[in-house]
Amino acid sequence: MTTVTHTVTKAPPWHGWVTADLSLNSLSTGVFAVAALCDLIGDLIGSAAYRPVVRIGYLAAFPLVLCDLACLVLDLGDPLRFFHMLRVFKPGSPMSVGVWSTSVFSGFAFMAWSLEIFDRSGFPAARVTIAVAGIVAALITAGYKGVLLSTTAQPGWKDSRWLGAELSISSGASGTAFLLAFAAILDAQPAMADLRAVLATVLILDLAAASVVAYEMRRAILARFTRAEIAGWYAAMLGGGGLAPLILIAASAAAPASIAAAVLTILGAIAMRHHLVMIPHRDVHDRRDAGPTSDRAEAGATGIQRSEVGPASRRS
Amino acid sequence: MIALAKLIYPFRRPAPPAAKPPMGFFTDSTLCIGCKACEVACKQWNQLPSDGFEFSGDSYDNTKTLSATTWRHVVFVEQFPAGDGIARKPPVVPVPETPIDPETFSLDALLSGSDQGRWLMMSDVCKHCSAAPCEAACPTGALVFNEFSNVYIQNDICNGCGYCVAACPFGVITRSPHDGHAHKCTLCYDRQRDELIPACAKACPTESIQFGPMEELRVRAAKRVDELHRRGIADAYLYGDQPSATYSALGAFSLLLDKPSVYGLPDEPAMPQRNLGGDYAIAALGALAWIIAATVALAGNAILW
Repeated sequence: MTTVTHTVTKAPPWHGWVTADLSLNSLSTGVFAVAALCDLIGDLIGSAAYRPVVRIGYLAAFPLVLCDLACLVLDLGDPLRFFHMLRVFKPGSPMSVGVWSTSVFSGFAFMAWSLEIFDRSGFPAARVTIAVAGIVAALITAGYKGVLLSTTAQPGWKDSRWLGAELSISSGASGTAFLLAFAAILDAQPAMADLRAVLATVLILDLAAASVVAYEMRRAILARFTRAEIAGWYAAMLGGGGLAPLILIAASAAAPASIAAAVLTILGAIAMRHHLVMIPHRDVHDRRDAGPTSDRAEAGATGIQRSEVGPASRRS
Repeated sequence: MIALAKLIYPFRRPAPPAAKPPMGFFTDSTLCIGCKACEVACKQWNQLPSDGFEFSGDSYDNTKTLSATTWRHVVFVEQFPAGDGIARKPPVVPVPETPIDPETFSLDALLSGSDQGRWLMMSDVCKHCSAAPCEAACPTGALVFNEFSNVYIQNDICNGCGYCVAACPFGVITRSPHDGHAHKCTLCYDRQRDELIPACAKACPTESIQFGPMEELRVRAAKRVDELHRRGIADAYLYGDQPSATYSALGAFSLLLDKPSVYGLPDEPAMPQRNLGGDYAIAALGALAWIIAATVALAGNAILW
C-alpha cells in the first residue's frame, strides 16, 4: 500500500489582500490609539508638545482604515455584497464582531480626522470623547483579528491562544513606529524622545508575545517550512522587526536611527502577518525534508491525522 | 428603485418555516461498492459544473476532494501487502509477511475478509454537524440550520468572505471560483421540501447511503454494528453518531472499519469556537498591557520634562 498524504482542512481563500488588511488594520488602529493617548496626556499636563504627532495621527488613521476596508471588500468572493456583513451581529463570530468594531472605529477615526481638517479648538469635550471612545474601538478592532484566526480549524492558527494579544500589541508597536518616524522627520521634541520610550516598551511586549505565539504554532510550522525558511522568517520578524529597532533606539537618539527603527518595526509587522496568512496554504508535502518526524509532529500537534489513500499506479 | 430594492432585500426576514424532525444520512461504508452513482446523481440534480478530469494516481479516486462543485466524494483506500520492493509505511490491517502470489491468489478469500488485504470505500459528504462551526463563523447569516436541522447556505446572502472555509474541521465547504460564493451539500433541501429523498441516497444501489429521521438512523446504525460484530468484523464502529468531548454529533454519520484518518477524516475533530471566550480574554489582556505600558512611558516622560 502506498500513501498520498494531505491536510484534512482546506485553506481559506485568503492571500495578498488579507495580508494588506491585517497590516493596514494594525497601522490604523495603532496610529489612532497612540495619537489619542498623546492627545489626552497632552491635555492632562497642559502641554502642546505632542500636537504635531497628534495631528499627523488623526489625519492618517482615517485614510488608513479606509484602505483597510477597501482591501477587505476586494478580498470578498462577491465584493458588491460587502454590506451583507451588516445583516447580523453575532458575538460568536469574530468576523461579525470585527465588522461592527471596524465600522464604529472608522466613525471615530473620521470624526477625529474632521476635527483636524476643519477646527478642533472649539470642541474640547468632543475631542476628549472621541479620543477615549476611539481608543476602545481601536483596541477591539486590533485584537479581533487574532481571535478570528485562532478560532478556526486551520493548522497553526488553531493552536495559538495568544494570537489576538500578539496582533493587538503589534498594532501598538506599528502605530508608535509610524508616529515616531514623522516626529523624527519634523524634529518634534520632546514628542520624539517620548515616542522612542513608548516604542521600546511596546516592542519588548511584542517580542514576548510573538515568541509565545511562535512556540504555540511550532509543530504546524515545523511540518510545513524548511529549517532555512523558518530561520529566514523569524530573523526578519523577530530580529529585523523587533530586536534591531530596539538596538537602534538604545544606541542613538538621532532622527535617522529613530526613522530606521520605525521602518524596521513596520516592515517586521508586515512580514509577520504575511507569514501567518501563508501557513495554511503550505501543505505538509511542501517541506523538502518532510519525513516521519514531520509527519508525527503534525499528527501529534493537531490531533488531525493526514489521510492515507493509496495510489494504485505507484505499485505497478 | 431596483438598486434600492437590492440594498434592502438582504435585510428582510420572512418568518422561518416550522421546525420538523431532524433528518440526516447514515453512510454504511461496508456496503459501498465504489460505483460513484452518488457523485453522479448529486452533480446531475444540483446542476453542478464539471471539475475537468485528470488521473490522480490515487486508486479509483479521481475526484480527490469535496469542493464547491463536488458535494459527494467516494474515497478509495487500498490496504494490500507490499510485493514489489517499494518501501511503504506499514499497512493498518495485519497482513502476511509474504507478498500475494498471483498464481494462488483467491478472489473469494479476499472478498471474505481474509488476511490478504482489503479495499475500503466510503462516500464522503458534508457532515451537517449539530453544532456547525461554519454556521457559527458566518458573519452574514448566510449559513443557517433549516427546518430539518441541516446546515444550509442561502446563496443570495453569501458574499464569499471564506471564513466558513477556515472554520470547517472536515475540509468540506469551499468558495467557488465561478461565482465567488461558498457551496456545499444541501442535503437536497429542495427535494426534502417536496418529500423526496436526496438524490445520492436515491441513486445508491446498495443502500450504503441511508436517509431518514436521525433517531431512526441511529437505531438502525447501532443494530448494523452489532450485526457486523456478531459476524466477526470487530473493527466496525460508528463515527459521529454521538457527540464527543470536543465536537457535536454529526447529521451525516458513518460506519467505518478503520481509523477516521484512513478515510481522510479527522480522528478527533474539535470545535474551533470552543476557545472563543478565552482567546478574547487574552486579547483584551494584551491590549490593556500595551496601552497601559504606553501610557506609563508617555506620562512618566512628560512628568520628567
